[in-house]
Amino acid sequence: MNEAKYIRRFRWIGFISGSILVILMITAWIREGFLPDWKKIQSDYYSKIPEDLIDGSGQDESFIRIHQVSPSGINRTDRCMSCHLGMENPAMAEAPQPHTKHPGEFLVQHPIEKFGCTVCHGGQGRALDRINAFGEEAFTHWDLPLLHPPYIESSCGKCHLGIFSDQSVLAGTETFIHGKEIFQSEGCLGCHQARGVGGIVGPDLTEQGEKTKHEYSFKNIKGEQTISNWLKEHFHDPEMVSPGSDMLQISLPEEELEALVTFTMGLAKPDISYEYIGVEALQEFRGIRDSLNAGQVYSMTCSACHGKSGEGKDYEVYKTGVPSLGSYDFTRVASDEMIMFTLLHGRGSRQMASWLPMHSGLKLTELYSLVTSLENQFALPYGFEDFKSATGTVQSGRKIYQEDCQICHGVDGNGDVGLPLNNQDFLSVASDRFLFYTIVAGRNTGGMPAWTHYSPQQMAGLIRYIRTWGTGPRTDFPIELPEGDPVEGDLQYHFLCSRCHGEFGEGNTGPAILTKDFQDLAGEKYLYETISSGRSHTAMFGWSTDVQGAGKLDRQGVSDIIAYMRENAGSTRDYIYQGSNPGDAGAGRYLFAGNCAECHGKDGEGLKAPALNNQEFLSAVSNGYIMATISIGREGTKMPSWGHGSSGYQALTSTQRKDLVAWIRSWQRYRIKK
Amino acid sequence: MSPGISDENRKRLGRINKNFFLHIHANKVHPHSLKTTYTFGLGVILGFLFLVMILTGVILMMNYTPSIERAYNSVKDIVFVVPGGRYIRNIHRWAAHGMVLVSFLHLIRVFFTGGYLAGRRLNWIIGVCILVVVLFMNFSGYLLPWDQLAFWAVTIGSNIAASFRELTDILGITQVLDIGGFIKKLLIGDDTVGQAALSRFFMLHVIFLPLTLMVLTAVHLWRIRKDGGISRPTAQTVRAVGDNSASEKFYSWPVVMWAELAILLLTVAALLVMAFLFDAPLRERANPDFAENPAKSPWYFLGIQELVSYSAFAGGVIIPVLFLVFLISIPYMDKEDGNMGAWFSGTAGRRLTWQSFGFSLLTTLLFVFIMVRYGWFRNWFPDIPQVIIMLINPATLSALFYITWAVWIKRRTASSRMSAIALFTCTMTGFIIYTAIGIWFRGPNWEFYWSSSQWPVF
Repeated sequence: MNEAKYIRRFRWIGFISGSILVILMITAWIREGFLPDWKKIQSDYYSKIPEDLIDGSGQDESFIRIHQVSPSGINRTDRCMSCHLGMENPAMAEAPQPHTKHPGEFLVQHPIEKFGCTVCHGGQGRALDRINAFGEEAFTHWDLPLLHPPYIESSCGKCHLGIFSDQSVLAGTETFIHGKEIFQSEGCLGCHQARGVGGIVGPDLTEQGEKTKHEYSFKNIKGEQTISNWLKEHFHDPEMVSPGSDMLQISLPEEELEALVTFTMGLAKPDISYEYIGVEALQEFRGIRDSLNAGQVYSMTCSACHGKSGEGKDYEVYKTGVPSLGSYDFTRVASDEMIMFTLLHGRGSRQMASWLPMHSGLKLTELYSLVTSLENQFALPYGFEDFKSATGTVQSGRKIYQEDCQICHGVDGNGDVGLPLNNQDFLSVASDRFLFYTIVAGRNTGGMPAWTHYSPQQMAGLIRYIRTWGTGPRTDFPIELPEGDPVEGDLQYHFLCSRCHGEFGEGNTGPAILTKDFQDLAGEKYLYETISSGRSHTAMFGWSTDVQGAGKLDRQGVSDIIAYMRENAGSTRDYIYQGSNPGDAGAGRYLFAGNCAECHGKDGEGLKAPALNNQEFLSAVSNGYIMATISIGREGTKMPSWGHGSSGYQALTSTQRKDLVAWIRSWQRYRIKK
Repeated sequence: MSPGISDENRKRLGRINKNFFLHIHANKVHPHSLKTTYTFGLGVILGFLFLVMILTGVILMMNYTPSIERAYNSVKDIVFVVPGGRYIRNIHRWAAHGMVLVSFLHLIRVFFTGGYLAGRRLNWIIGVCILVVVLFMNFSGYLLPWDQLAFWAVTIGSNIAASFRELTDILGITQVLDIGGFIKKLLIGDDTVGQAALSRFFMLHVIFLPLTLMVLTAVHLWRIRKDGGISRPTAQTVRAVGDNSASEKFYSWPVVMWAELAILLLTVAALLVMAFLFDAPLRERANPDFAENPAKSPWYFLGIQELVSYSAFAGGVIIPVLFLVFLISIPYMDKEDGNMGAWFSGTAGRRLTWQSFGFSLLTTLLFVFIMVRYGWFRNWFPDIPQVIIMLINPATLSALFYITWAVWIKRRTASSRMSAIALFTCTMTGFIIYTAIGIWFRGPNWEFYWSSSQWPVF
């Protein structure tokens, strides 16, 4: 081919390519220069404003430019105003989007110059076209899409939320606050932690609202692939959305579910300058918060498992069930020591976690108040004075005795599991006050429940009936005692008393005497008389006589012992003491297999009922607790009363019950310190 | 007025002196050099692509910040705010991939036309060096947007760079001599991709590699002139092949000028069309906590990544080094200068190319089939020593088969050119196949999927 042909050929190729090039460049120029939506919208906006509202900087129709704010503390750049120019213009209140003014008074406290837009609304602030700015389509590859109502309220929460504070409702956050209330009443913090408070079974929720779509698995989500929908479906059925999850289903009406989702999306620790964050939130981030009252602690952390009114959960709903804390039968046999122990230690192999302040973020005062409120659920509504003025009949008392007391205290007060009440010496030193408070407060180590459901008349009748077995208290002996020396008393106690009453007075073959319950009620008279004269028909000797050559105890000696007891009553001990255990574990084993294993499992591991071989449980409870629970049962749950028997379950004798206690106690392998 | 120069020559020299174009180009070129079906203009396209890269790159550089906090946002601003930024970035991206692709095509063209023969050995080696530098330029630029795609691609790339570890682990000497770790650290400046890597890659991408490329390109172009212009059949082969083109040369100005102008406009137009149709990818901001799955290195490294999935040392060190050594050694092994200037050096060569292509296709796909369907040694013998897998795997076996084929061809034809064609064809076919598998058929966890619609949702 000759030169000319080559030149011609190349010229043609160049011409055609060049033309395409020029056309494309012009197209690009037009596209960028005139066609972008934001430019059209801006010019539309300027045509809407009357002349006199254009500000003095000479902005006229031709001054179409990008409007952007880059607040330094927020660390982002927002160009939303390039389209939404009417945001701050009161004249635009009725205009259609995108010209419309920002609704409400939010911009007064949150000026755009200082906050930008995306920190509340989400979306991609750097974009200049609608699709990229909203960031909702997958191809925009933007992690934080625009938030639509009501979820936009979650942004308020990100800076303003104080989970544990009593916030006044901020304007426009009704759904969010409603969600907060639901969160606080559903017991979410029982498994989840938020801002340092709560359990560690489930993931930490402190920054849940900041998670992007990539941090969720949408594998099992049926509906929209958005975070809000994920949360909704998750609340509805956690196991389906996150296989292997232990989370219980939350059944709420749609509106409440939306509120809860809005709240969850607002849980965050935003990565912005501290000046932007509300005081309540800042304090909580630092770990400072107001103390909660017992009701709040319960509803925030316990209610999910233990039920909103403490009703517990049946084993069909949740594994071996969750104990009912609102049961009268429970509160009257459980000491606050036991409840506190369980709170602080949790229950080993079960979901009940340790709520020690360093694990759970709860304060010790809050835990104490929780224990107190649990204990006092069925508190006696009247005092001793009301009882004193009441009258009751012996017959009514006998009836009560036979129904409630006989299974432990025996026929006619002969004693069995419980101490003999018909003992003359006892009745002669025990005042009415002593009897009243012992019945009402119970004695935990021995298993004496607190009977708070009797009316004053019924109490009066019961005590009159008990008194029929002996005489009333004597009042005619001297009560003048010399000053006692507790150190001496200590020696005497351990020499004489401890072999029956236990090294720490926790009871052995003799009753527990160094307990607060007892020492508070027993007066000097009572103690002196009992120690020096003993209790006839029992193993309690009268120590003022020479017993087994141990020497007499004179008044000084008794006084010393009394002083020692007073000093050490209810002292803090390392362990919760079990009390006496007179049963035969071997026999108890067969009884257990025959009666209890069906629900509690062959080895007490728990099937349809709580596990009894749990070491934390065994370290928390006294034998009396176990005995009382077996004997009385637990109303409101499936635990029958084995002392009374029922249609399905034959009653067990007190010996059999003692044997069961011994067998259950035998599962304890080690003692856990308080 | 100096005595020894004739008027005509003085005119010629003056012409050349005053014309910048003629400083770079020879005064006259052989018409054979202009044949589209000979060169396809690939070298010139490559040169203009480089020019476009520099121009668009400079514009981009003005708007980009190489810090891990700001890089992503600056790229977003280029796309959304900088006038024409979207197009400039797209052009830059597609021209970059174009450069890699065209480099390979140019390599293939030069090989099959025997352009490394007859004293053009040095230029061939410079060309191979340019190929490596172009790959590095693309790789270093890949990281700069600092999005998920970039971050994880370079993370994977850096781990492939550490492939030596497989060998030192087998020998148990990694504690003492960690060559793989050294190379990785040299590459990204830290244990993981971070600011050190970004700064380093930015410097490489913007200063060092472009300068290197410019120097190499200049020498490459100069060598072409020194070697007598674009390769073409020698007189004997011309007569043998029956080329009728005129033996008279054309003046570069204006013929070559028009040719190059045409190619420039064509290239830029094509790039602009690509820029209009396809946006350069920009995913979420780089997040070290969330890996892309699958995390894929840039497409030209996916063949290596596929081989690395069989054995790190074999795929990441042995094969690439072998490949480069092979390329560089071609002009040393094949000295049959008479074969220059014709595609495939004749019909026999063309036939051999097809045969080699078929052979390579079969054997490579056979290995891939076994690997995908039945697994490899570790699946059948869980306790097998790693060294066996390192030595015997589809990568090394493919290489072995190709080499065996080439040796057999050498024996059969007694021609080093033929055996070079055989081995080169096999190698490039294998490269294409493994790369294709890495691009289209590997999904999450590097499992084999026929299409991305089958990938599981996580």
